[in-house]
Amino acid sequence: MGLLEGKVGIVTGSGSGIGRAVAQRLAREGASVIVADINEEAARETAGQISAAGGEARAQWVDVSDEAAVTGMCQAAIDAFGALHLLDSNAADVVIIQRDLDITSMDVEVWDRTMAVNLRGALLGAKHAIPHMLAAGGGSILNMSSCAGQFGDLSRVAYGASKAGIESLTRYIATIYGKQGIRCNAIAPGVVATPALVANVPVDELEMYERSAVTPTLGQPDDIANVVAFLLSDEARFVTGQVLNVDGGMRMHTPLYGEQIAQG
Amino acid sequence: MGRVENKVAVVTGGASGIGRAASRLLAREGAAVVVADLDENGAEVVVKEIKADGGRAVAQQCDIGEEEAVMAMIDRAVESFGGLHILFNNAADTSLNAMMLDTPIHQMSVEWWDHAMKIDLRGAMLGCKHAIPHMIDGGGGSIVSTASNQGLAGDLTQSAYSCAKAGVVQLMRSVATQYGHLNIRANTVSPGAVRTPAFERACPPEIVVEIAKHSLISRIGEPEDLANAVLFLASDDASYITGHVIPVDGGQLAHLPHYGYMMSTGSTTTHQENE
Repeated sequence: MGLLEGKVGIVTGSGSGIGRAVAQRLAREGASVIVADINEEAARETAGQISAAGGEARAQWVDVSDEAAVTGMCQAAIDAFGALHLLDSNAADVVIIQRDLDITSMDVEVWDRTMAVNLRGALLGAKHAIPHMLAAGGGSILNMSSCAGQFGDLSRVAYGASKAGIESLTRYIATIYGKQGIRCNAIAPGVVATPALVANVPVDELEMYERSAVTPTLGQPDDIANVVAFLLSDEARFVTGQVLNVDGGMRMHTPLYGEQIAQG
Repeated sequence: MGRVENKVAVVTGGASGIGRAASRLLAREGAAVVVADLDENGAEVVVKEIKADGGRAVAQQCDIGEEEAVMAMIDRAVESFGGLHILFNNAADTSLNAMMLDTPIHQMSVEWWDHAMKIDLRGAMLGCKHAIPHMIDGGGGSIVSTASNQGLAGDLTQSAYSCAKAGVVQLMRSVATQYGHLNIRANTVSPGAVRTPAFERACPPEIVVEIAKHSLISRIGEPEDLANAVLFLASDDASYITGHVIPVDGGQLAHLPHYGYMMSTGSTTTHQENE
């Protein structure tokens, strides 16, 4: 018996990376999953992998910044599986982030697009999923924050601000709908060694990230998916409004830690 | 008119570093100060400095590990200056010996742990315990304690010191909660690296360079940086602030840990992918 047997869930941004790992894990735990992504081909690939492994999944195109697309995504869960209980708002614009540098050089379009996808997208998901969850007697929402929303960095200003906003949104959803059986939590991942990250980041920089984590290695998408499954499940029924850092402890220690480890 | 005019303050660990800077600043802003320290000669020197500036102060030898000594310190304030309004719990064992004995957990001497708790945490509790009745009599007061960023974040050493300092943060919340309705406020300042005699004893220059890399304002702290925050929290300017921690640390805990690396390699962007 899976943790999420009989549940219906939506995972946005599940065409790749963490979202894909989450969709697969939710399906393994018995949930029927709407695999939503702006890249429909990638969504179909994830859904195909889930089906091949014996799970229930449907691919769904979504641009989470587009309200009509988000309502369509939620309706797709009802049409395919008859209900909606779980939402993992995982989508973020990973293209625009390459232009998300410092404040004085900030192109306002970059800011607006980042907010539209990362923060407003999570709002839209909750807005249109919650009525279905209420109709089903309750539900659980997981929003994806980031350590970059909690601490300052030299770049990714808009991304960081959008993620901090997500943490506040999480507390509001938890507060307003808690009595009606809806929980809402957030995960703040640290550096997750997705294939794209490993391919694109110079080795010395990767080693530097590894030194900042107190775990032996950097995170994998499954490390995040494990925690999403827990927080969405009834095992976490008394956990709500929280942000859980799943970051290998990268920011709970003093910043000198990495250098001290490097020097032995 | 000073910002703590006509107030009476007790500063523990007042003979050097942050305590010395705070004693001098509080006195300059009009408070009468009991400069308390284990090192009586050091306390006398600070009192002389304060008097030379035209301020009021007395020196008090005090081992904050001993309740009798803490009681005598508080009594000294009331006897010398007629009341007590400000307590700055700043004393901790920051001797080189203390730093050396405060090892990783599996090597920890339990005697050392007990000593660190006794001085660094229990001492602050004793100060509050005996100061609060006088503050209640006087219609209110402000208590400030020195914690440490090591009490807010994990580190490879200073296990006992850091636990005591985390306890200090919670002690201030408890005091703030229990005595707020009696007009007593309690807050914590959390230093990062501060150029005190204790810090300079413990940290060779090459380590200081490494530490400064994680300061967002490109220097380590000076005792006066902390004293300014202590004065603010002690003064009526902060009359609606209670139960909180103000890190005075150059942003040491405000940024992601790769900052130091990026700054030293001259890179301003990092590749990071969370989703």
